[in-house]
Amino acid sequence: MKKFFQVLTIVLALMAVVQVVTSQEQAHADPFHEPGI
Amino acid sequence: MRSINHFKADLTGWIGALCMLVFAVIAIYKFNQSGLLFFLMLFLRDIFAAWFLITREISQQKATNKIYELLAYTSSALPLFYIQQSDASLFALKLCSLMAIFGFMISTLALFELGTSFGISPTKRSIRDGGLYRYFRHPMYLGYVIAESGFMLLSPLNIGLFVISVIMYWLRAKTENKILR
Repeated sequence: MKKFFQVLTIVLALMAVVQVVTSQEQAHADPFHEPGI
Repeated sequence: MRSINHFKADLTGWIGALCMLVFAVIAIYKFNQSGLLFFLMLFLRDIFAAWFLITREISQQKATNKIYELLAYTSSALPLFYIQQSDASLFALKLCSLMAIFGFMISTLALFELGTSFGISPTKRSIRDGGLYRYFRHPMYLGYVIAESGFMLLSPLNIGLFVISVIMYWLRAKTENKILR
């Protein structure tokens, strides 16, 4: 189960990278401010 | 299925879980608004952090000084205060976003590895040495440092905040090393 969610995290991260790299417009006007638990 | 700790036995765990659920709602809202997959990854992290907080092991030892607890919670909230100059370039924004994705990916992987040993303030639970913990002593903090370093590209004022944040992570790591020894 742990492995499944770790793989899912990596897949989501890779897809997120592709999304950021290929976006043409200023889609990240509000960058990722998130708490560092 | 793991048992959920009694409300009174681990009140801080329940409060922390509630905070993480609020962050999860914010993350899924942001995903819905922007369609950015980063927020879906964050939602996953927040939901599991909440689950691990209410099912976590009872601590064997805690930091005796309350200042360490204060340090941990302050350090957790600090990244929310990074600012962005309105004239930041698209390149800087993209690079900042990529570092955030990479950093949070490392932290989320570490969270799954930590599981029910997860906590915010320095506490001794069972020690994990698999996955990323085989290579790094504090992969969650490493991930946050990577994620936050990108914010220095958005404003020179963030450099000061980043230095404070790194010092806080270092102090948290040092305290945890002492307790886990």
